[in-house]
Amino acid sequence: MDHLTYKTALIGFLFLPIIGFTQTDTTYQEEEDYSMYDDVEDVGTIVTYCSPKIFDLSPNRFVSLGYDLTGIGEFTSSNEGTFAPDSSGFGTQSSDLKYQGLRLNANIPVISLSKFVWQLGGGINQSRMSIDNEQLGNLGHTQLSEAISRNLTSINLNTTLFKPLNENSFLILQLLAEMNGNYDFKSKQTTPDLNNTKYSGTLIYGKRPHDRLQWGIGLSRTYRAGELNYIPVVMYNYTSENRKWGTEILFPAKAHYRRKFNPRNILLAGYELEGTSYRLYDSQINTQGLELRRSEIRARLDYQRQLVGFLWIGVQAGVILNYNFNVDELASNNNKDFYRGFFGDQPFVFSNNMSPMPYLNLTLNLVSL
Amino acid sequence: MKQLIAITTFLILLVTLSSFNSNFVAEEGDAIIGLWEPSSGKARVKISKIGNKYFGKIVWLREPIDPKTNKPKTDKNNPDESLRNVPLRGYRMLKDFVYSGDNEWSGGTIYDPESGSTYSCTINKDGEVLNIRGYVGIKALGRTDTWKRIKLKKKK
Repeated sequence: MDHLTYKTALIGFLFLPIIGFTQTDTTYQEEEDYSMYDDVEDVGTIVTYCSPKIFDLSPNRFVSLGYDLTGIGEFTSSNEGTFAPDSSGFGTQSSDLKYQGLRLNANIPVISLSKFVWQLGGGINQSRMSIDNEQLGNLGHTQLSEAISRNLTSINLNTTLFKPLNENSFLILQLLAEMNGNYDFKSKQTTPDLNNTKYSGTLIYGKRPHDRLQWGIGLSRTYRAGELNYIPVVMYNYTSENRKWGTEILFPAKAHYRRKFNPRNILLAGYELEGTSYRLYDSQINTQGLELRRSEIRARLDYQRQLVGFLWIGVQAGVILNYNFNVDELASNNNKDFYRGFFGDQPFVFSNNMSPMPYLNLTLNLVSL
Repeated sequence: MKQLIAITTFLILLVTLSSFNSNFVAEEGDAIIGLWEPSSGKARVKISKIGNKYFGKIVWLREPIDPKTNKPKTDKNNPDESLRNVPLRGYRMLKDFVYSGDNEWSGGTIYDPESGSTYSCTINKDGEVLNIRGYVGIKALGRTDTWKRIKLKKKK
């Protein structure tokens, strides 16, 4: 009897868990007749929203680490003076100039729902300028050249809001705060001042008629041309019916033709207008501070391909065409930046030019498709 | 002998209780089983359980026919060329989810047929709504979609 009781207990102990687990029915049945899913109970109106993307756009970069370097260009500078915005009063002296620098940018989704997307980003972009020291003296004024050769840095914070209004229209709001200058934190005079932060923003109203087209119009406050401007913008992202090619356009900031070799291997051809206004710390004329208005058009081929998983590599090669490299004296009454716009006639204090130069940009990117 | 009976009884009770607990957890996890519609309204996904994991299969498409080919849509964005002719309807887009308690299913992946990408994924159930978050590497780098439970019409 004792032996029997022991055996019963042991059997119970061994098999109870199995009995317990098998009480859950985990059977999976393959359905072949999918028409049964056509008729569902009315669950009320399902509000649907358009996606922020269309088919085959180049990948959205969560994190991007890159290096940017140029070939040698010829930098021509005027003497100190007053040069009208449309003047070409460059000096006869020139210096070889090239630059290179690290570019680290991140763009993290804070809220990413079908009815609302909010992304926060930040980045640091450097241009370590190399000017020929012997030629530097020939320019006639070392102040400007020394200021520039202390390297230009831009630290930015940005946010993007995407609000779909319904299944085929949306709003995009982008805001950007930048701290730009030749600062290096080595002294009080060369430490950036938060009061010099530049603020930009773009608001776009757009339509997304189908999965291969997205277009929009809007208004932008931007420093891309080197100094503050208010301009209309046009967005046109398109993918062809055969999905081999398309466009990615946010005019006038950038425009690219896209060729897809396969979903993990794409080539973009086009241009981007890059630029902002840099405070030249520890440099002044009389008592006025200086701002370098820097803007360049990067005409390029941009090849992007998957390395592994969501890690992609990007290689850009092209030509930099100078759009603006002039220097302004700050407003005489308050030593602050001022607005010239397209039609202002405030003169530059230095009028500079730079010859076209080749450039190469390599990036390693963590992306979302 | 009495001692042996007492120990055995205790063990049986312990195992029975843990078994009830497992059943309870399993039943809680099964709350995800059923038919769901993503926020885009373009598809319906049936979530089922296979073994102790949960899977979701596309069972309905708002536009099931590819206008270019006039044939049922296939997984043409799949990075694996050999899978591009696989019909989208019937495609298992949610895989390998395990119930981790507190209305959360984790450890699985979600496949996005529009980009051909597979993302890590967690699912949170809030009433009759699923918050499905696909992400790259860490949860912060992701996107959440809201799926609504739907029910088949009862046959008359």
